[in-house]
Amino acid sequence: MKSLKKVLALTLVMLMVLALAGTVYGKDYPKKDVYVICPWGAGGGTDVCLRALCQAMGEELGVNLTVDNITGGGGIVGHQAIANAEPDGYNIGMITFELSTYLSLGTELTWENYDLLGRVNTDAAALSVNAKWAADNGITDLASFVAYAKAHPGIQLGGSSNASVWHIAGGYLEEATGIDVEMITYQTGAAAAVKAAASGEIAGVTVSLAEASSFLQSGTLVCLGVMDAERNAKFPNVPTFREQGVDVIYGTWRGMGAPKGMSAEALAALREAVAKACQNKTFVEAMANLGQTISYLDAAEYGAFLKNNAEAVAASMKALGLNQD
Amino acid sequence: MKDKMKTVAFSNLIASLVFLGAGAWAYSQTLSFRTVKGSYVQAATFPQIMLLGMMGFAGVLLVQSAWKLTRFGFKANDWAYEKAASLNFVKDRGVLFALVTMVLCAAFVAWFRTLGYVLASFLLCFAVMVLIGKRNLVQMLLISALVPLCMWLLFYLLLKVNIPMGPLTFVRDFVDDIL
Amino acid sequence: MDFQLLLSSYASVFTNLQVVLMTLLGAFGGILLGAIPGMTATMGVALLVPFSFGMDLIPAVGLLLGIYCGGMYGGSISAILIHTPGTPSAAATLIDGYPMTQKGQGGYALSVAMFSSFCGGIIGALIMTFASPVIARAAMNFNSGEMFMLAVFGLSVIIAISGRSVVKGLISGFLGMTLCTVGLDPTNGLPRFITRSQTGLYEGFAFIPALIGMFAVAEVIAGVERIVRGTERHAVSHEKITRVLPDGGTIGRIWPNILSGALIGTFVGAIPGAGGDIAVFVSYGANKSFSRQPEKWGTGIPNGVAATESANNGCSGGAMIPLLALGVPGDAVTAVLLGAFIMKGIQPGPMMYVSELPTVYGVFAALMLANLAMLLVGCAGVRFFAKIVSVEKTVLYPIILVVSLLGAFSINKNVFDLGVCVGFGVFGWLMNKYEFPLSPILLTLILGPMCEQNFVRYMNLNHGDFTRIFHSPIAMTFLGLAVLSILYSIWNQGRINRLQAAEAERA
Repeated sequence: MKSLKKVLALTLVMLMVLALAGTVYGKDYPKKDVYVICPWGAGGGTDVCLRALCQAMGEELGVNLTVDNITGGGGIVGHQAIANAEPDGYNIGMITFELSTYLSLGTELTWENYDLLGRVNTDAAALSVNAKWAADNGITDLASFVAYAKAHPGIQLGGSSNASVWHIAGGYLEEATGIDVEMITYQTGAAAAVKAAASGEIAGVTVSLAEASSFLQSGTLVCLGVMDAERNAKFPNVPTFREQGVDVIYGTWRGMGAPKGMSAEALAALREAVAKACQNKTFVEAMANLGQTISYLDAAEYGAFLKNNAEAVAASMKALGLNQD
Repeated sequence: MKDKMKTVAFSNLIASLVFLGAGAWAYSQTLSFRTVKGSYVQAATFPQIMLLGMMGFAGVLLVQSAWKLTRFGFKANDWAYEKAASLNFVKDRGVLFALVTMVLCAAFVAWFRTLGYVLASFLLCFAVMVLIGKRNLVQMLLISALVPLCMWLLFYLLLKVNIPMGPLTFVRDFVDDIL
Repeated sequence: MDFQLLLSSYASVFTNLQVVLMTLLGAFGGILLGAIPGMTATMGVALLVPFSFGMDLIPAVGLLLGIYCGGMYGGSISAILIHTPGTPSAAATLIDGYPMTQKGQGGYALSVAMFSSFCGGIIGALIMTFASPVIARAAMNFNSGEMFMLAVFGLSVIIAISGRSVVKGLISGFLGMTLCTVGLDPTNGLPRFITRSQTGLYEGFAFIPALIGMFAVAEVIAGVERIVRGTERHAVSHEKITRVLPDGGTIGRIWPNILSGALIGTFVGAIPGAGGDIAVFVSYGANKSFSRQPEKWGTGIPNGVAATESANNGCSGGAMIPLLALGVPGDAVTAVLLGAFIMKGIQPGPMMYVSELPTVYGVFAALMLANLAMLLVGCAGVRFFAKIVSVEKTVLYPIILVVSLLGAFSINKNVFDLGVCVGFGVFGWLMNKYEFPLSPILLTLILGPMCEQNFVRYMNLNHGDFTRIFHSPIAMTFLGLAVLSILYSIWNQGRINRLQAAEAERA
């Protein structure tokens, strides 16, 4: 066993010396690669957006940003990992819409657990219904839909999995128009809900335009309105809810967050990198292809946005009976 | 098989009782699940049906094994009268060492965060080799150290998956610097 | 069907050196990734999506499909050699594959798996090329009720994979269905068997760590037990591999399994939301039922490997149909592929066959090429992979242990999952020891969520009126198939037990 110890000790010393030799150079931050936690699985919408963003941020910071997918528990595990990460400036993460729901679901996690770096993207919810169903019932726009829904309470709409962003959109719809719809959950995701609406199993979906785009183009679904401030560039013919007299703006959002307690220098550098990355040509192109809208907000505005968002989402979840108290 | 108590039939009898007990406990848990008004299928419904199914067939197994035990000795070649596996770790070194392996694995999980993958795996790999009687120290050390290290490198470099390294984090920085 | 366009698309794909190289590279990577437990083709595809940003669409698709097809076969390598499905789609391969390795025929099993994968993949790709618009229209009719009945039909296979005691198999199956319900309930998000603070269990037991635990960790524990007791068989394997492809005689015996497996795989894959993990079990159950020697199934016969491997690669062709024509992915890998298409500015869906026909044909051709690449790389690798089992067991088991634990961790990067993995390892070891079959648990872990989610959704859609399902011809067909399969399997198992008893009497 003596020889074993010697070998081990020798290797350790060698490795340490080599490691020390490598770490001494110039500027203060960043000195090494940054780890970016993604609370959702590799290959999903958030992951793809984040990987493109990291490439752009890396160009700004001059180091690599490595994406670390820490998943499970409906994103809670990853969000918690970001909040609990070491605040040394080399561990940050992407926070997503679901963060606004966790308090209502019975956990303690909110946006206040993070130092915010900036909002990156938003995608508005839209109300799309089966074209045949709409034609049969004389529905052509939001007003006629609302009128029909008031006469026939309990229209079945789909919106991805339980307590997901598109599911909660149903709650917003109910609150804004005073109608009563029944939200059906499609646990395998928005694509399944869209397909169900196209096949006529449900009347419509409350997912984003991007998720429903292919069936909208083929004419199987018609979009009655989008819950955004402005019309979507890819679907200029789809009116907003506001234009039709229903004041609701709602959608999913993604942004960058860091654990609390990071140095001011690191925080400033990262915030600037996020801001610049959002104008990076390759990133803009990639997001356009993905059908995701870049809508940058700086840390302060983002904080105000999150405060409002958390309250409104909580109210909507209550309307849908999704809160756990 | 001479001893009634060591047959498969007897072990089935015990197992069916275990499943009945576990099923009953789980069923009692489902009674406290919250219900939602307006939902046609409650959260507890599906697990309850499945537990009833499990307990039902555990009951069938219970009756079946009890019947086989009462007819013990009549029919020799029924597989219910074969010798059942044993969990006696005092008499059977195999079982004892299997249990030790499980404890080692549990320790691996408990220490994974603190030690990191490479170090914890080194210890686990080495310990299991000692257990199963590999006696070539050089080979043992090399394999226990190199396999986890190579796996880590594979994940880190090729797949860009960052695996915790614990006290060996400097190896990661070192690898970063080389590239 | 525009044959001229089809031919020119095929020609342009097969003569494009970049595409061919990328596909080969993908197949190589896919086989390697698939072979390591816990490293699925999904991960490989996801990691290469950003890498493919800079490429043209078809080379990028070739690369990703290469990984997809390679991963499907790669998963069977570890299933056959070390009793751990590298990907969920290889889960049924180990029922016959691992016993073959134990008999010292690991290399033979690998070549059968590879050949069947290739044939299954090609058949799937052909069906997809010529019938996808028709199939896609039919797939639109698969709604919640039909999906529920499909799950029920899949579950009826439990009896065929129960081993000698159907009652014990059913206990395992119901236990597995109960295990699926741990976590937040899928419809209302209410905690079941957990408290609000156990966030690691919100989505239930993570599937891949549980799978690795039940098979790899349990097998290592059992291996330690056998070695210490001195009952380990074939401490070192001495199989001589003379050829990398199965011989004519073998092919003559397994071709019906390959054909039916490929058809079942393509069909199941074409249903939106159903993937290779379901197809393999359905194919295994069906092929065992129609076999003239059902008593040999599960003891290590090439037919069992052929039936499952052709099904999961056939599925890769089938899964392209809902992906391209409806924009609905059938499994995790196709979900990532969908993202890759969108990234390239192509939105799969009903318009794809109208506006993007050259792309669609290009994808068909790339899939064909990917299967060829898989065969080539696989042939080169059989001898190498088969060497794994010739490693001394005292070295092999510890290595399997640390590698598979890493796999269990890396899926979610969650230490809690490691605990799940070890827990399921102990559980699997106990279940094995007392002959409660594990395959039904595996099957129910795959089908349980699909079964419950669709059932609950169907009930909510129809305001609690389940009888409406009797008006759906597709659902009724599956129900009928399920009943037939259950009755036939019970009868079949009785026959198998009698045959084996008679054999024991003679011996």
